[in-house]
Amino acid sequence: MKLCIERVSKSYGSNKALKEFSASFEPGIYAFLGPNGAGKSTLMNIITDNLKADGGQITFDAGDGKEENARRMGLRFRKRLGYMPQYPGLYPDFTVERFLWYMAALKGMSKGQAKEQIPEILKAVELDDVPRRRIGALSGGMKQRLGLAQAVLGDPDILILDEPTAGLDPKQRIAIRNFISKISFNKIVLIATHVVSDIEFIAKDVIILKKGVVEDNAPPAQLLRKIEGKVWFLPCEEQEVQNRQKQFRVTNIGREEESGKALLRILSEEKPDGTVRTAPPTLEDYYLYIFGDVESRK
Amino acid sequence: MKLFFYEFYKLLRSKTVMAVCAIMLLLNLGLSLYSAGRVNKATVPKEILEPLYTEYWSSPEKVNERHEEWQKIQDEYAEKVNDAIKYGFDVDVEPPPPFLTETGIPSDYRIWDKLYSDVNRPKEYDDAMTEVINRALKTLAAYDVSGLSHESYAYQYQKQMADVYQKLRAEAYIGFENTRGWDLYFTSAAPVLFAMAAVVLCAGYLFVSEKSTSFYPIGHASAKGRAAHGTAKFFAGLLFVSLMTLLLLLVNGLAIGGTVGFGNIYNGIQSYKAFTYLPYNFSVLQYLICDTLIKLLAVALLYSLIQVASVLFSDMILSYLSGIAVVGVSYGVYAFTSHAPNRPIHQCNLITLGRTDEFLSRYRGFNLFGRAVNTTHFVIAVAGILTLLAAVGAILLFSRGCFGIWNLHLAEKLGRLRTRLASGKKRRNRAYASSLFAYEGYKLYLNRATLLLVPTLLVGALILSDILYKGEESYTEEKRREYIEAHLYGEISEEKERFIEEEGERIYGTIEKHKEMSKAYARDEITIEEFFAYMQEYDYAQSRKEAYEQLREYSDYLNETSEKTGVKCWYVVESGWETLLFSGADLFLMIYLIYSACRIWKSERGAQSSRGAFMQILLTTEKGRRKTARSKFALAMGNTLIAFLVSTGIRVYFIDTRIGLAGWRAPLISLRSFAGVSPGFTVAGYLCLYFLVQLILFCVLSAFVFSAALAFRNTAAVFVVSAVLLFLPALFVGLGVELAKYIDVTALIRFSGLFTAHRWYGILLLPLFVPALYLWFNRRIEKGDLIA
Ligand SMILES: Nc1ncnc2c1ncn2[C@@H]1O[C@H](COP(=O)(O)OP(=O)(O)OP(=O)(O)O)[C@@H](O)[C@H]1O
Ligand SMILES: [Mg+2]
Repeated sequence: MKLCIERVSKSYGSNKALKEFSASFEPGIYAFLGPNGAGKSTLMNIITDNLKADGGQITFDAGDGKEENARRMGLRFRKRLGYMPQYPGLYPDFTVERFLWYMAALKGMSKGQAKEQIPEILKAVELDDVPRRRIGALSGGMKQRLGLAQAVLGDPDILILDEPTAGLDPKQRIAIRNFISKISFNKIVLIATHVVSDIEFIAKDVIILKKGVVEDNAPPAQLLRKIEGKVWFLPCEEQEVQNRQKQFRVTNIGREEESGKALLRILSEEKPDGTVRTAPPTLEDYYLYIFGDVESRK
Repeated sequence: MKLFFYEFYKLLRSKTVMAVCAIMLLLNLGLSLYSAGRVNKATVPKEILEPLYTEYWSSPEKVNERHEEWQKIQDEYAEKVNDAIKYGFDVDVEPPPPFLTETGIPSDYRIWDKLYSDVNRPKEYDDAMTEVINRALKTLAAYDVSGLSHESYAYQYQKQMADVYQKLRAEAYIGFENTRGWDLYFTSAAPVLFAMAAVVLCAGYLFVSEKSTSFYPIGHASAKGRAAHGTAKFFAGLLFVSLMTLLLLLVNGLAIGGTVGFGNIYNGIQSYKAFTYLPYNFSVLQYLICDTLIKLLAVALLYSLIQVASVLFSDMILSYLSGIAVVGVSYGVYAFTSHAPNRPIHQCNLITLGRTDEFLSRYRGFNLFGRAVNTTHFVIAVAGILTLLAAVGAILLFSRGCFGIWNLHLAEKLGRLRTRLASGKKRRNRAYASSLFAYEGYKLYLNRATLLLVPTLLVGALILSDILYKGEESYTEEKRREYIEAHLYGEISEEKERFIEEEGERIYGTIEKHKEMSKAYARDEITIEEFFAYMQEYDYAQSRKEAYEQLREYSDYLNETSEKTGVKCWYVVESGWETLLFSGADLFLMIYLIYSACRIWKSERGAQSSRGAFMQILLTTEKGRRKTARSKFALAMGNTLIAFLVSTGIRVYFIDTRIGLAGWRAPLISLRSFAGVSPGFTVAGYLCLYFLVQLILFCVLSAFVFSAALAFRNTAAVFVVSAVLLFLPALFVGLGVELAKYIDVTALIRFSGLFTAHRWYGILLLPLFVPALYLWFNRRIEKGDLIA
């Protein structure tokens, strides 16, 4: 099974949201990282055929070695698709359960399948205690989880999740992350997110998008290697913190247990002066490394 | 104050509001020019009148002399013509050359007529006043004789009337001039109706727009976000609609001023015939101010009422609908009581108030706890108080946070109730339907907007039917119905002919004998008993004479038609069938159809992609495209069918019980309004065709709106535009614009009018649109790209 995206572009008027985006996906979890407005949602909408691209094409190989244009496949492609939009619009007058049954009907599942899967999924996203609540009366996080539930319903081969963990509490976030990694076996899962820790350990590849262009596309470990030796712990006095922030790109401010001094986590190509020690890099450091300065965003 | 400007700015920047206003202004301009042009054609141009008036002003004797001279020439000419006819002279009598103009256009007659109607206006006015006063005084005298208390309503009313008009007769100023323009300006209903339409469309938008941009919670949490914000919003909107009204009035004024021209504004308003009985001593200028203020009051009242609704409802369409309901019901009551303009129910009406000309046209009073109260003042006071209350109410509700009350409290309660019901059933592992159609139906019907709207429309439809289909008949009609029901109903026959003959002899014979009998009684040739018996018979004859004549006409028609076509006609009571067969453009049904066709797409198309549209998920599922579109379409059609059946059911029920529908097996040509149609139709047969055509047209209507709602994301705009396209031409036809009838869909729906005129069978081709539309949107939804 393979999903290929070739030179897909999209502009809204003069605003180029996506410039010749290319990538190919095999079963596994792929993470899209990028600042607001990078074009993540646009790309996902194009893959799901919600938006028409200006150019380029998307092909899909169902595992029989035959590549086909996904758009032209139409129904056969959509049968394998599960999509959770960034702001899922759900029917406020439906109850949670009825909504999932409706989705099951939309996805062409049989009654038996629905009866089997729906309680399981509800349990997984921890909505099993409110199956009869109106969607309009759900909390923001609950709606978010319901959005995820409908996407995974019917066991789709391609799962596209646009910020699935936005607005979730820490416990839920971890639960959802584990759930996704559990069901991702033998599926192509594309996740757009801002929360780097969500995908740090589960992503096969991380695709860094910047103003509609792929900045980087590699496994997390490989990305981390790029900033190895560039992350430092720098202890300093409280009153110095402001100065240091002007001087370095600070990714975190902590406190040293013994001395009670502030402990800055900084990004720097060269070793800063003073008593510093290297820190193990994380994806978050890498993200800030790429997008950290104001200039790179503008 | 700053807030006020921001609110005003928001309104000016809203494309919807601006578009609505532009459309209203354009329509108003068109209509004003049209009617002013029509009147202008019928008036004598100023250039011709002015010298004549100036001359009359300086030396009336001279003009009078000339008029006499002209009159003499005319008389001579008339005599010559008479002679020619009498003696059979075969010569054309040369008409005299034009006297006042060179071309003879406009005719001398019309010019003189205009001049002397202005000259004689003071006397005419005086006479009219005297007549009213005398009548009132006479009534008062009669009351005095009968000993009626001076405190009683009837006495007070007549007294006030006599006082008012006596004062006016003494004081009203009527200056001599070429009166023109103002009567047309003050009697044009269009500007204020357009203003009301603009209010309905803009005012409903005002508060709800806040909600739909999700700005409401932010605004509400800020220091001045409540009372101050609400007040600013309310008054910004009020200022806006007031300016809009003034602009519409100004446009009308300019249109009239540019064509017909205006008379002197300092002249008394009573100089114009239309204002003879106006109970105030006003100059045109004073009346103009008064007229404008009352119109503004009507607009403000409507505006405030809509604001209350728009604060209560969270659905834009519902708040539009409440405005439409207020105007629609007022207009309905106004139209159905317009034959009795003095009834309080006609006077206490938004439309009457807004038109002002009818409202102010004469002194009116009504009985309020035994006191005679001036209707005009009373209505103005009530309207003012209502406006204030509604304004305060809207602002309070807004600041108290009752905004979208249906969303919070009611929803919570409903939710709890539902949970309790569901848990009562104790069915844990419940299975739901697997047909998309069922879910679409669920979406359309089981939501607050629809659940609220359907009963409202039903009640509205019942009330309107109750007003519309009254069995109220004149005495003559009642007698005619009696004849048909008791003696003639059914196929024509010799026997029935005979009955008619005999009845005729009885009636005419009795009437003829009247003199004879009276004389005989006077000469004591017959006894008093005999004479009383005769008089009874005479009363019978007199009371039936008119009905009989009409019956006779009908019978002649039936016999003649039967002979001509070879089909045996029936005697039926025509009024029931005619009412049924010429109605059917049910306002409530059409509103419901537009609403539901929009609503079917609302959950998918209504939201913007950035706020989450279900369309995004829908399009990625297996059955989310064609199958969903198909079930939505099926639902739209099924819904149309059900709504049509309900509406028709109500109509048929009311007409059948109130007026009567008998004789469905009769040939259609038994109804005189269907005189020209093919004799093969029976009433029942035509009824089937008629209902079928209506059903198809409603389906086409639904399909159109349905596809528009799919094509455009803004369902509220689709709703508004569809409603405007549907109802505006009908309104125009009502206002006398002939051209509008070619685009009047409601006339198509009423069908029989076109059918009997043998026109526009082409509408039967309309159903072809449905499959075309269906194919189109199928393609559209398959291609996707619906979320941007
Ligand atoms: N409907 C639209 N009309 C016009 N421009 C749009 C539209 N949707 C997105 N854009 C533009 O396209 C660009 C990419 O937007 P997109 O929503 O794909 O970003 P994103 O990466 O998903 O951002 P976020 O992290 O905030 O969700 C942005 O510049 C945005 O302004
Ligand atoms: Mg996004």
